[in-house]
Amino acid sequence: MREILALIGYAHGVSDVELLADVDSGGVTVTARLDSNHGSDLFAGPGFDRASERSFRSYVEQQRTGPAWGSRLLPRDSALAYMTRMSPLGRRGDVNASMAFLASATARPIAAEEAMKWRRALDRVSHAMAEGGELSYAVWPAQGKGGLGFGGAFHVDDSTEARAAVKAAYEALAVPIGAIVTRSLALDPVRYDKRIEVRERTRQIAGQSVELVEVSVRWPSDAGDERRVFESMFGEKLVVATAFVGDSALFAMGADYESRLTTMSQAALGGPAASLQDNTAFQEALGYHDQSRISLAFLEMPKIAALAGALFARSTDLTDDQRGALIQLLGDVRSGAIISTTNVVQGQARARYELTSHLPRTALEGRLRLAGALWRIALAPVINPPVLPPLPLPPSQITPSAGFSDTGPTM
Amino acid sequence: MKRTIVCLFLLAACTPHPLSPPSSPIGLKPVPVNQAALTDLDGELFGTLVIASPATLMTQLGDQNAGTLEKMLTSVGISPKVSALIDFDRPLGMALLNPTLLASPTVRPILAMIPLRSGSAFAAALEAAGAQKTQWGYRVPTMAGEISIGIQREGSGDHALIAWRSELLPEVAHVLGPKLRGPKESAVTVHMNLDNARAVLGSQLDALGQHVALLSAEGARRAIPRSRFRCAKFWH
Repeated sequence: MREILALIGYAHGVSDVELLADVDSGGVTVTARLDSNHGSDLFAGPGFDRASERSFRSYVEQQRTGPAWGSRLLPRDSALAYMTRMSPLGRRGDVNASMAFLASATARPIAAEEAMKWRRALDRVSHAMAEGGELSYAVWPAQGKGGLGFGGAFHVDDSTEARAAVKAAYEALAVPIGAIVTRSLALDPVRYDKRIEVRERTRQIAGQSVELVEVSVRWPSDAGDERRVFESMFGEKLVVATAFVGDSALFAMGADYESRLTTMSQAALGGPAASLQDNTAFQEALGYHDQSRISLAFLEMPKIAALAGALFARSTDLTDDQRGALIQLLGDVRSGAIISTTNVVQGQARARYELTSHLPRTALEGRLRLAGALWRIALAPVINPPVLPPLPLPPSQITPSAGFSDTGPTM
Repeated sequence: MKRTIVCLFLLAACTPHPLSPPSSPIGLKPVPVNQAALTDLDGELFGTLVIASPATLMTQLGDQNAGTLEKMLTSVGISPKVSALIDFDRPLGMALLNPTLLASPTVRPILAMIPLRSGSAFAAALEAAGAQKTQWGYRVPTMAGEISIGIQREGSGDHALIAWRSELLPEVAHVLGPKLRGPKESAVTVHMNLDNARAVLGSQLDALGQHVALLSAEGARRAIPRSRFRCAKFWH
C-alpha cells in the first residue's frame, strides 16, 4: 500500500478526481486520475490550499517517466512483469517502509544502533541506483526443478559502488532477512527464530562474480508440512543472487537462479536472449503512453494461474476431488493479459497522476471472482513495488502458507 | 454496472434553505443563464457523470435485449411512453450538488441532462402522462419527489433538463452542456470536484484519509492478511 499511502499524503493538493471506464471488444479499461488544475489562485475553489497544491505538484514533477527499462532482461516465460522508474521521494519512502517492515518482522526488540545500521545500509543501496531509478521485476516458474522464481534488474551508475552497497546491506540485514522469510511462509516466528540461517558469499556464475544470500532452515523433526512448502517453492535453500553487468544489477531468486542469471547476464551484455519482449501482447502494452509512464505491470493470466496452481499442488496433499476442482479452476482461466500503468502529465497549469488498468474480455467471460483475484495480483507490484536491495520475499498472493498464521508479508 | 446506473437515478438528499421562485422560464426556447446563481452553483458542484452512449455501453456490457434501459426507467416510476423518447445513443449527463444544501426527503441534489429524440414529442408525452405544465417547463411527481423538467432545443439535438428545484434548471445546461457536447475520452466519465467537497466535508474527508492511512501503515507494520491462492475459495 506504499503508493496509496504516498498519494494520501498529498491529497490536500488534489483539486479533481476523475474515473474513466471504457468497455470494448478488447475488454475493460479503467483509469483513476488525480489532478491539480490550479495554474493560479484565480481558479481555486473554496477548499483550495496553495501549499498543499505545490506539494502535490512537486510530487508529480519529481516522478521519473519514460519507456520501460530492463524488459529485455526479463525471461520470456515471466508470468508477472513490472517495470518502474523510482522517484527520489519514492526511494526515500521505500527506505522508511523497509525499515518499518524489517523491524516488524523481527521477533525481538531492535536497538537504536542496529536500526541505524539497517538504515545506512538501505540508504546506500538507494543512492547506488541510477538517477532515473529504473527497476524491472518479474515472477516466473522455476525451470526443471519446479517452484517459484523471481528477480529482475535495476539500473546503477557505478557498478563497483552498487556491488559494495548491496553486499554491505545483506551483511547488515542478515537477521531481519531470516525473519521476513519466516513471515513470508507464515512459519512460527518464535519456533524458527534460531533455526533460520542466512549466509552471504560470492561465487562465479557464467564468468560473473555474483553476490549470494542463502537462506536455509534447520527443520524441526515434526515440521514436515512446513518443510514441504519451503522446498516445493525454493528447493533446499532460498538463494538471492545478484550480479553486476555494465550498468545493470541483475538479481534472481528461486531454484533455477543460476540459469536465469546466466541468461540475464548474456542479455545485459548485448547477446541474444529469449525475453519477455518477444511477447506481442507485452510489446503492445509497452507502447501505451510510454513517454509519460512511471510504471507498467503485465500479468499473463494463464501463466500466473498455472504457476499458483502448481505451487499449491506441490505444497499440499490434495484429495482427488480437490485436484479435480483445481484443474477445473485453472481451465476457467482464459488467455489474455492484465495490464496496469501509472502515468503523470505535467504542465504549467496542471499536474496529473493517473493509474490505468486494463482487463481483457476473456477475464470477464470466466468467473468474476477469479478475475478479481488475478486483478489483485496484477495490481500488487503497482501499489507495493519491490524494494532494494532485492529481498527474498515471494509474491504473497501466490505463496502457499505453511499454516502457522493467516498473515503474510506485505510492504 | 446496470445496478449502478439505476442507483445514480436514485441518489438522494435535501435542503433547509428556502429557494427563490424560478427566474428563468424554460420552455421550448434557449435557456437563459442566471450569472449570479451560476457563480453560486460552481462552488456547490461536487461531481458529474457522463455516459457517452448508454445504448452502446449496454451492448458492450453484453446486454443484447432491446429496451433494457427503458425498463430500468420504468422500474423507478418513469412512464414507458416518456422513456421511449429518450435518445440513448447520445451522451447523457448527471451532476451531484452539495448534498447539505438540499435537506428534505423529497428533494435530491441531482441535476440531469437527458438527450431526447424529439423535444416536442417529449413535452406531449409529459402532458399526456399528467405532468403539470408551468411557464418554465413541467412539474412531474415521481417516487423520489417532484421533479422539474425543462426542454432545451438546439442544433445538436433536444435535451430534457432535470432538477428537483425549478430555479436550478438553467444551471443544468451550464454545468452539463459543455461536457455532453465536448469530445468524450471514455465511455463513462465520473468527475469529482475535491475542492468543493473539501470545503463542505473537509473534516470528514480528512478523517477518512487518516483512517485509510492508518490501516495501511498498520498493515505494513503487522502484516496484512494475504489473499492466498486457495482453490477452496473458488469452489462455490
